[in-house]
Amino acid sequence: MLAARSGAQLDADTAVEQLHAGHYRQLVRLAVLLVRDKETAEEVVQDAFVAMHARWSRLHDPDNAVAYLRQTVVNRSRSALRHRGVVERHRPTSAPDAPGADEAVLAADRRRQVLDALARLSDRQREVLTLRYFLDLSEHEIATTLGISPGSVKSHASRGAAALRQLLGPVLEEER
Amino acid sequence: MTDELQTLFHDAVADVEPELGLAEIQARTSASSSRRWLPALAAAAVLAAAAAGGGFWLAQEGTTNTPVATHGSHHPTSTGLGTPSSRSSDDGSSYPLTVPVYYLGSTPAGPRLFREFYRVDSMDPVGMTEAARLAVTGDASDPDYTSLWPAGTRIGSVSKGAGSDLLEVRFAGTAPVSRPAGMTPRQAWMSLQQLAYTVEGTAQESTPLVFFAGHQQLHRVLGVRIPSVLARGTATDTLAPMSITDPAEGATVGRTFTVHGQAATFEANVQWELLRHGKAVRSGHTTAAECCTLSPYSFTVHAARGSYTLVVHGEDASGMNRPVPRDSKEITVR
Repeated sequence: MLAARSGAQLDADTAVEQLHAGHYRQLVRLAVLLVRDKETAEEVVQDAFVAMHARWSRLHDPDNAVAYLRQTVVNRSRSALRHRGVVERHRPTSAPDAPGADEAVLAADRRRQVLDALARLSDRQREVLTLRYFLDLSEHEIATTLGISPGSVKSHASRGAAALRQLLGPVLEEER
Repeated sequence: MTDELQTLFHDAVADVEPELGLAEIQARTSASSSRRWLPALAAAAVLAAAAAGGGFWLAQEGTTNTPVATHGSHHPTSTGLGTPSSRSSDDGSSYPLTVPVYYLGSTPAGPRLFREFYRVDSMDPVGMTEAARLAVTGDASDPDYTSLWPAGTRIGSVSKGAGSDLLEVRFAGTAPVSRPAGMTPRQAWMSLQQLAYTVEGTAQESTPLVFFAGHQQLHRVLGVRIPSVLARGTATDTLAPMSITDPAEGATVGRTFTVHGQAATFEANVQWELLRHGKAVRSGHTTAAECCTLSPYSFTVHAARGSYTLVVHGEDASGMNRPVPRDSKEITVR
């Protein structure tokens, strides 16, 4: 096992292609939850792939690479928010009152409300909740990804969930 | 609350369909001119993904047409990192080969791939077409494994593309472009992975697949969009977290036999039992080589002659009686 795992058997170009096929869409969706807008999200994820390619000799394993991509996407999303003012461009707007609207409109509306609510959380709360509820990562994995203690993960998760619950009260009601 | 948030988070981005992105990434990483799909390196990557300790067969270089390993008797020490054989059929005869074929089985994490080995008589020295046909027809030896490809799906051929270096899967007859009623998107994806693992494992190359109906490339198979190529998913997301490689289903073994398999479990723990008429007559536990990632395990069992069910499973660390990954084989000791 060790012999087979060591060394860069899979070259960096192949790794990019394979990981792109398997993970690109999920990573872009992760980034959308973090930065709100799709173009920024795609830039962030593409940057992460380029960084992964450069670092491949040290990762040399698809599983390590996925963890690296995830971490890089989270970090770069945070920088993107700071430097590009994405939050400002997408200041939350109030939901239109749309009784009788069709399913697609309601769904789009619900999605927007969730993204709006996420944008109003602190960076850490948004990151912790997204890793937990979108990627289904464990507390330990979240701590490793964000470089914070499991205790911090716990407190960000509970405060974030409470804040989100307050912001999304009506949406959560609808879901029931 | 947890489930609600999970649903909300997934739903919030369910309509996000990214642009392809691959071309942009490749344009920025193409400084190195190293060409992709180097066969020797790729073969090693397949081995890594398939957890080499479970035992890979070796297509020998040279004159013999006989694979080193046969069904159920492959051994980790014979793991071959060599390039695929370059034998050619001079006299038009067929090649007896042993090929890995993956099937779907259920696990607590949903459908995952389990591997069996088959001997086939192949018209070419690699055997990808035969392996792919076995995968889609679904007659696994182990009754717990299955294939969900719609009845009537026919593989015309699987071959290395002339210009592309990709592995080309050609359907014969009506190609299964849409997802059949009753098949979930997850099952459709895993069925494609079943073909990818089977074909790449047989080729001993980590080379993506492209699909064709006649000369037309298909960008949708079983309802799954395939913009360019289909690559294998990572082992931890695709392969069964607990499986027995050897002995195979229905195998006959001696009174002292060694079980080989691969596992990705909590603290690498592997529990096993040998059941006779549903009652455990032997049991034990071992650990896989590494924790939490797919890695090999083995243990030795002594038993009297008779028919048994060999079961391996993970342990429930939650204390909440959650389902654990498992695999089982009917075997005969003589």
